[in-house]
Amino acid sequence: MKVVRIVFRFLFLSCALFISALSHGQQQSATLVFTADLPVINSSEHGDYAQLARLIETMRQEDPSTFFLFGGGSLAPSHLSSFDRGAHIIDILNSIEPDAMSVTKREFSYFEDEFSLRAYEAAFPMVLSNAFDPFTQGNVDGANDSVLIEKGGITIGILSVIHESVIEEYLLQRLQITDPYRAIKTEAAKLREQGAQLVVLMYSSSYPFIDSLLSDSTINVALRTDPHYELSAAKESTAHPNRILVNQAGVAAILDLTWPTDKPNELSISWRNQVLETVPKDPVINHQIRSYTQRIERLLNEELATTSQSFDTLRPSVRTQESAFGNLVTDALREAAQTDIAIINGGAIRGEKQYQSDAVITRRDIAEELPFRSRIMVVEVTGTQLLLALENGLSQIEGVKGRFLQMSGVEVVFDGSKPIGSRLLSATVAGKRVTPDEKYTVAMSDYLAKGGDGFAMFSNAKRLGFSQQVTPLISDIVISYFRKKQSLTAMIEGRIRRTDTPGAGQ
Amino acid sequence: MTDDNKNNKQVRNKTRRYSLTKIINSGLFVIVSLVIILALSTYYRLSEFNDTLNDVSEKSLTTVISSGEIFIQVNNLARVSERLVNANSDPHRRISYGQINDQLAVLTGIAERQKENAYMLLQLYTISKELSDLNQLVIRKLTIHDKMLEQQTRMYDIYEALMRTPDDSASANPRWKQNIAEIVTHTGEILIIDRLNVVREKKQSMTDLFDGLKQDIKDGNYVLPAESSQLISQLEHAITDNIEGIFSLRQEQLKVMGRSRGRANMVNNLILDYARLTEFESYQLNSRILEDARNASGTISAQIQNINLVFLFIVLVIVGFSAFVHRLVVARLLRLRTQIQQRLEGVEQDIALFGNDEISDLAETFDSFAKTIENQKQTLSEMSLVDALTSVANRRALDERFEQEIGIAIRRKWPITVMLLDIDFFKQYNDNYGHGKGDDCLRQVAHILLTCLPRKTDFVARYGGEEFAIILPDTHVTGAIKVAEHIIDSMARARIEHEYSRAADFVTLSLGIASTEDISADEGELLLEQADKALYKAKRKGRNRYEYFDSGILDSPVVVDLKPVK
Repeated sequence: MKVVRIVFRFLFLSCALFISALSHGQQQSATLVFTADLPVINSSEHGDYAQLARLIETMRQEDPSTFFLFGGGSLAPSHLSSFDRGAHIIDILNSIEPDAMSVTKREFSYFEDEFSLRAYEAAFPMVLSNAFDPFTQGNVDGANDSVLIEKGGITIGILSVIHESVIEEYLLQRLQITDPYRAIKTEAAKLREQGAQLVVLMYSSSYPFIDSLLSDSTINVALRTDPHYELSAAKESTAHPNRILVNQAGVAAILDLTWPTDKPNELSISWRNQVLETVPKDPVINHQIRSYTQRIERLLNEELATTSQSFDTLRPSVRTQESAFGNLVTDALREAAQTDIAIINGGAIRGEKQYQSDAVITRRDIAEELPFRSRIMVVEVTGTQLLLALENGLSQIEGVKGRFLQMSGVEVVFDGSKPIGSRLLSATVAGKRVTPDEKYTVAMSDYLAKGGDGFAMFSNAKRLGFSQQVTPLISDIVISYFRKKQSLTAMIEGRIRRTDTPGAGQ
Repeated sequence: MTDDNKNNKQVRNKTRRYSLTKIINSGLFVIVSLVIILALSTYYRLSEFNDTLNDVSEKSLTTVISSGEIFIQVNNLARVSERLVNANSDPHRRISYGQINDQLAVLTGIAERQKENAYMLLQLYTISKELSDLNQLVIRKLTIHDKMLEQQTRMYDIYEALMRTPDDSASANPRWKQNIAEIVTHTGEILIIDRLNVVREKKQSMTDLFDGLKQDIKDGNYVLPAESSQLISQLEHAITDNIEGIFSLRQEQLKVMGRSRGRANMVNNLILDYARLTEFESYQLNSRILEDARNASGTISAQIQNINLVFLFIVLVIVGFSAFVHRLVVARLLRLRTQIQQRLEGVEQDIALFGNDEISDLAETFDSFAKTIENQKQTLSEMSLVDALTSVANRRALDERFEQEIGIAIRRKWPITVMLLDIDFFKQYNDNYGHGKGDDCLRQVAHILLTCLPRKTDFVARYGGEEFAIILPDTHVTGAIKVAEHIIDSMARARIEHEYSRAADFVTLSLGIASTEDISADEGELLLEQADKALYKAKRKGRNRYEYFDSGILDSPVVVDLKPVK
């Protein structure tokens, strides 16, 4: 019913625009549909690709100048992606046919080469305006610096910039990130030269220069999704009307653009959020999705254990405080590796789910909670390195960043109101204060051991290896641990204590 | 003696009583129990160790072996799967898929042997399903490829036919041919374009070109024969048709290739998962079993140490017990035997052993037996009338007989004579020849005395030491003198050597005789005194002679007639 209403509203709007264009003879219009961050193809909470497909189809029927811009952030993490590295997302997107897709950090979850394969598989251009790959002496293979799309007589140029933190967060070895401001300036100029009537920028991190770029008409529209925007500390204060932020998951922004011909500076935008969940499903895409989800269904249905307490894996739970699930995971690692300490970054836990007490944990839950196929690594660190690592874990707590550590075998007390680098008040291992010269064995993910998320202190620590034979995935160990336990007591035990009130100083 | 006994009793009553039976029984019980405990615990530990060894050989080794096997097979599977994805002809695909099925069969065989892990079979099932789907995708890719080649051939055929179309007029612009050539060239390039969006863009531009061409023809810009128009629409179909057109086929092919790449990734990860999980499971099983084995061998070595200790303890207990038995039983029994023997030999010593048990009881019993016997012996000897040494009557018998004979003499009113005899220089005899010889001498003298008394009524007794007494009833002094002379003669005839006698060089006797005609009942003692006095007189007169008593006996001068001593 709602869709019918939408359709009517759009028909009306289009007619009105057409009439006004005729009367003035100079008005031009286009429709943009923008969404991103849909890593799970059949999310029951956030809406799925079958609903997105139906929405796009409806919009395209209404307005031939409908541009579907996909903001990315979807090739990972999900349990299916952990198996096929995002190929199924591209396959489904190919059926929906976006006009362009922005490349975000998550698209590099499986590193540069795997991204290139996905880009080649895509039936649509992937845009990344500020990257340099020494291997190609240009953009990363498969990505476009910018694209020009023409639809129904309207030509739009698309730009997309990525934040440099992708290198650290995704441990990229080759990719170099160039200055986004300059990249936007250069590429926008090129696009204008090639006849772009409007230039649209897609981005996924906060930049201070977006509003000025909009004001000086370098770009005409800036699009960003951040479902966790509310958790973010760096909120954008003054907003240019052409800067669109989708701050909810499972939502598509629908933008109606009108501007006098040759005067894109006078662009006016009216936009609204469409919740995908309320849109009916496209049967063809739904079939395609089901053919994917059913594939490893039986494997994922294996029941592992029952929890005796309720807990959740929402971002604030795993990225700002001790989490019951984090405790279970690190306990499993510590037990398997027989080390003094086990740590994992909160960003490795991705389920964002609530578990009731007496909930049955299946392989699917673990696959969703730990979608990155990271392996266990055992390193020997000095007390100094350990303290540095603990400080690093606390350094971006305001941003609810993934580097916050969940831990076993070590207890910390911290004050989040203190300056970065001196937040850790105390750290004890086996009841004794961590001393700088003492040696500790630590089990962690290979991601952390390679220095990911700013844990550079681990990259030159002594590697001990898990065992001579195998290096299982973190999820293997957790599954094995859960299976053995049968009944889980997930509790907050005071491993991480905070002395200040969270959020007070902001 | 009795005081000692009392003391001993008191001492024994004070010491606690230890029953040897109980002690020995308890000792034996403890030893046997220890041995049984040792045997049982050793058995128990050994069977535990046996179980662990069985675990190692049956589970651990087999999983190590099969995980090695799985590793090889899984690597093969990953390799042939990669080959399947890249297959560019149907035989190539068929062979690869055949190899995949062979590998899967081997892996399923191994997984079925490890019955405990149903999840592994499920993984294999998923892998084989994925591979079958992948095979379908590859088939589809190859089919599309064939169709594309077909359509391309068709396109070139139509193109050639169109190019052969004669230009109908001089004014006619052959530009449509150029347009067609351009379309065909672009379409030809499509096979080497692997970007889907580029293909889509190109398809759009081809569609636009065809639309333009058709518009021109419609507008009459080109005049074409009907069959050429037909060929153009056939060409349009072959190139831009949404299903069978070359562009659509290429699009579909690229999509299928992407999908099969995704599926291959997935299969590859599933296969790696399978290998890794198998390895991880076997690693965990192995570490568990090794841990068990380590624990078992730890307990075994602790057990061996314990067994050694227990064994040492048992040995010590046995040695201690033996020492105990030796000291408290054997040694004491030996000592008891010695004591009994000594007692039998007449050594005056208590039979007594330390302690308060059955053996000390036995010693006590023996002791009291010996004492009883000795007392009885004493009583018996006290009760005897015969001198043990000389076998003639003793003093007691003499006293009884003398009293008896006095009674008879009174009744019969006949005389009675008493004779006391003393061996001369018997002390010297004893001193020089020894007590044994002395005893022999006494016995010989007694024998001689007996032979010198022909009458049954005559009575000889040992009076004490070397003194004898003779009672001669119904005998006067004169008769007695005859007897005395006979005795002295007999001694002389016997000639018992006595070098140290001053009376003769043989053993001689001195005799004192007392006789009365009329004796009263209380005069026995007096008569003996008189005989003694007479004996004394005989000694004084030089020995080896007799004297008889008369009232003036003491006044008579003493004549000493002694042979000088050698």
